[in-house]
Amino acid sequence: MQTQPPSRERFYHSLEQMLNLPAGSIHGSEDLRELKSWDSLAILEFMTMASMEYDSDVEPADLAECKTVDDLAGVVFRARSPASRNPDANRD
Amino acid sequence: MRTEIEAIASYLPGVAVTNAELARDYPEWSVERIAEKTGIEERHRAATEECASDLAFAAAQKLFASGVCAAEDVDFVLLCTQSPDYLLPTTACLLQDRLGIAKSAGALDFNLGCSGYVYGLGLAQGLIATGQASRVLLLTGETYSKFIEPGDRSSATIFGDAATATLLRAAAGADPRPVYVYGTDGAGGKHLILHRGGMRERGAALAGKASEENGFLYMNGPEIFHFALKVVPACVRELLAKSGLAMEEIDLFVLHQANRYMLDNLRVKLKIPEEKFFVAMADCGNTVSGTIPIALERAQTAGRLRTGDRVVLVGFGVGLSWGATLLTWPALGVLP
Repeated sequence: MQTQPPSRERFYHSLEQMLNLPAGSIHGSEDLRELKSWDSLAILEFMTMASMEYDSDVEPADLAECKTVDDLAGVVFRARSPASRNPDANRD
Repeated sequence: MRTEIEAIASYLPGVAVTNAELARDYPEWSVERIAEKTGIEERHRAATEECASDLAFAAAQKLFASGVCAAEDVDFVLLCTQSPDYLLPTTACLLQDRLGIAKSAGALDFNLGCSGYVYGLGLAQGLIATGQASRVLLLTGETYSKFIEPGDRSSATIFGDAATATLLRAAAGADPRPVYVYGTDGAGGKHLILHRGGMRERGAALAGKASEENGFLYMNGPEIFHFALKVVPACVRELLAKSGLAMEEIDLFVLHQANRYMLDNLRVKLKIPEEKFFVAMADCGNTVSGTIPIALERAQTAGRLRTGDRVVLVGFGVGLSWGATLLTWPALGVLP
């Protein structure tokens, strides 16, 4: 866990900011149903964040399957356009 | 034949639901968050006994009261609604009688949602340009609030009931070239749907296969958001290409007022300056096919629409369906 690639940490940080959570509070294994601010509006914000920060066009159906924060990260990194893909970011 | 928008009037039913009231109903929703993200401070709901025809009647009465024309001058009525009073008869027929429009007028309903106004302009222009009508009353009327399940805070927050009346007429003068972009993707129909009410569910029930679906509106917000972000920019680009105009030559963009968050994203994606992007939903919410005419009416009142302005209209939503057109205000089309 200490060797998280930087891009994944950046992803957690972005998510914390988006959801107004304290810095360092997300570690990846969190259950989305237990994240209080993960609601219908947050999903739309998340799609925007994925597009703006990661050039990632995530499919809503894939997001609906996600159970944890790391599931979200997997969807975002997989959906990145080939040109913007960073090998470090592709860890699932 | 040149087609012009002669007048627009809108009607919001009397009962306004504020964000504070919504926050009381849904304690996990905060007033600030609703306003910030949706851009909506209140939305109106029709009373129990109030239907789309009542709202459309009020909007049309307002339009006639302005003195722009008399009901008997109208020779075609188009009503865009997905919440008609009845499956049959056609609600536009009932409105013809109630409004005192001549029996020689044509009247029909068409079932579209947030893309409906652009389609209505296209239909009206077709009727006028081919000499089938000279004054078309284009109405929109929706009471989506009656479809919303108690507990569906997303839909309850966004949607508002409203009706609008737009008068289109044949006019003299240079004839602008009509420019429309239409699009449909029925595969996405399942993302914004009301199962009950049509014949498919009734048939299933009769065959002893009662639907598991309830009778309320279902909206898959992320799918609709995803659809809009993909389709709308492409639609605008196609419209501009057809028009032979550059983005900078457009004076005002009026997009379907889905919610503030979606509009902000579309504006940024399309690189439209804020001063050319009209938003009008704080006091009425997403009124489905009513959002574009309400915005046009308000833009005109606010002095944001001047004669000769090039205006892009884009509707998109349930269907999935989308459409865009360009006006050289108040004429439909682009002048060469």
